[in-house]
Amino acid sequence: MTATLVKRYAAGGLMVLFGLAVVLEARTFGLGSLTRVGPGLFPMIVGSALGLVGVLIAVTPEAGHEAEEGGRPDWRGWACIVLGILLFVLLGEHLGLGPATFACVFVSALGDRQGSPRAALLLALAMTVVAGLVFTLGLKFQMPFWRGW
Amino acid sequence: MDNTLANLVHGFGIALQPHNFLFSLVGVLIGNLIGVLPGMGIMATISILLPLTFGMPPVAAILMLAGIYYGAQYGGAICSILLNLPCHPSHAVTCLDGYPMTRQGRGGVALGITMLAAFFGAAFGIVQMILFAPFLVQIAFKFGPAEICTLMLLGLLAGATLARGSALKGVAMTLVGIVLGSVGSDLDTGTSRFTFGSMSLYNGIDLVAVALGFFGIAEFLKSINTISVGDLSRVKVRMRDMRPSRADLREAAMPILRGTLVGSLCSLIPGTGPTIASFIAYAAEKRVSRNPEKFGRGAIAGVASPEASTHSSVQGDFVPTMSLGIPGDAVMALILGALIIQGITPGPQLMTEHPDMFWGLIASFWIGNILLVVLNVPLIGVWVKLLRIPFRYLYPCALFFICVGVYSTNNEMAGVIQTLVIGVVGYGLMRLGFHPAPVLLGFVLGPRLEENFRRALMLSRGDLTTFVDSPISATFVGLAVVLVAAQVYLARKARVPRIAPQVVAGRPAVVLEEP
Repeated sequence: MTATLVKRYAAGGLMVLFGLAVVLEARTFGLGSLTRVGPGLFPMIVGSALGLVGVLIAVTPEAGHEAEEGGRPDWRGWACIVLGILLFVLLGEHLGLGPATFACVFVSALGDRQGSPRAALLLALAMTVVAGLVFTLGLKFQMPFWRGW
Repeated sequence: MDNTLANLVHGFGIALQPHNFLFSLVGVLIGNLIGVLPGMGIMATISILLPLTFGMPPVAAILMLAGIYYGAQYGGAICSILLNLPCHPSHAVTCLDGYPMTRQGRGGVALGITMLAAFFGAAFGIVQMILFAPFLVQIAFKFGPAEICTLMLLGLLAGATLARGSALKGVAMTLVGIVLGSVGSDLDTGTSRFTFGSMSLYNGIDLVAVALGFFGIAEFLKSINTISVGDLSRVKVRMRDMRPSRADLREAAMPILRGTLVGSLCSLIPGTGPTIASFIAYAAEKRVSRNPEKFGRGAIAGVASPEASTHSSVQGDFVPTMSLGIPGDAVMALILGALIIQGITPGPQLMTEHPDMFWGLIASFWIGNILLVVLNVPLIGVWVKLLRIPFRYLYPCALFFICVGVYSTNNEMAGVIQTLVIGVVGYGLMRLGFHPAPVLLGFVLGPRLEENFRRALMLSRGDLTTFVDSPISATFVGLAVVLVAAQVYLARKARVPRIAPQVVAGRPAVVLEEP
């Protein structure tokens, strides 16, 4: 099985699974009748259509150009972006906007292979200042800049 | 006709009100800036700013968001011509002849011609909107729920199958979007759907979360470590370099006209936005040209025609969105979503119920485009400097703005988590060859499709033939069938590579995802 074929089955299979899940869940909402359509009927139709399209994706050979989608995996970049946002959520909830901004910008900037930690640090500090001036002072942002310990 | 003129004058009155003018100016400036910066997307920018507009009056909000969209088109060309970076797909084709012109030291002329082409194309697109939208509205007023339902179905199908990538995957993404749009409590009965007991999902998923997930986070996951700033050493553009010679103008005149026509036609077909328009315009221009061998080596026609077509298509895109409430692509879906959030029901009644909005928007297009041309000429030096800002400084800041933007919609972190999940899943889907643009179409239109579907069935007492009874809806269904049949036929016949920005992928540059 070539990589393209794996991708095709994965893409189609994913849609089938998703469609199936939607149909199963939609059944519990109550379908109603055609005269008085219940909350479940429309999602049910959409889910079934999704399953059908998924099967079609899996069995249809694709045009050649789609094979090049993606490129090499870049785990460092991905991890830093995701971690940066998670840190924003965590620190924003417990420490406030300032630390959240600093952590989010610093960690996600580390994901770039050409950048140095020093540059990331400066960028993060600069953004923290911007966040304080623009959001906390200027726009009266709901989240406090610093919640304290 | 008198009426149109009076309305237009009224519109200028609205658009020139100080705060409307100001927000329009801010919009086009931000758009222009974003267009210039390599790696920054229009979708991400509009959705980051969306929460800010919630507190603004609707007219100002829409003028600003629309300004970002067409302002970015002016900036995108600069990036393509000077750097050979097709940062914005609708300008990818401009690289082909624009960059060779830069290497010949004629980058300034290419930019000058682009400005002319852009303004001409945009002006044509706006006139098209003035003349065409009221006409469409007249027809649309005859629509009942069944007609609206079938029209949306046609619009969604066209959006899903005509855009980039595999048609089947486009349909799948539209359906995913519709499912995402149905999350939350059902409007009729209050039943909670797909919430899995989570309170934050009960009010549905936010438009901002979907847009920033797919076009912000997923986009950055895709482009991190793949974008490098090109060689700017050859770039010296001053204001006076931008003035094209008489011969240049003569060479560009007809291509601009032809490109404009291609763009305005493309804008009327849902799903074929500026990107496809620019590619068709380039291909057509090469075919009719007397010396096609010059294309790819710095032909002025190869810059003028696609640029004119992009801009006329961008302005024309607003026609179906504002008159029928059917967006042609993801950016329009986002602007439509912004209208809905502002409490304005899109559709034919928009023009009669909110004439301020409609005619103010049109007038702001004129003002915005003139501003862009006037600003771009003296600011060209500034934009060239901005081109040097590396992507590695941009995306961390953009991520921060995404987090803050999503948080501020509801003042809760749950939205940020939703956005992150949507972004990661969305990037996975992108790697499997799914394009995200149809998701947003499905997400915005899905709830209205369902509403009209249920209403139509209730009115017909459960008779499904209601969807083909009236000649109007029967036509829509017929067109949808023809569309699907044509796709199947084409796919079986040739498996020709579709028109896609990958055409230029032969060079070491990245094409960013964007509708």
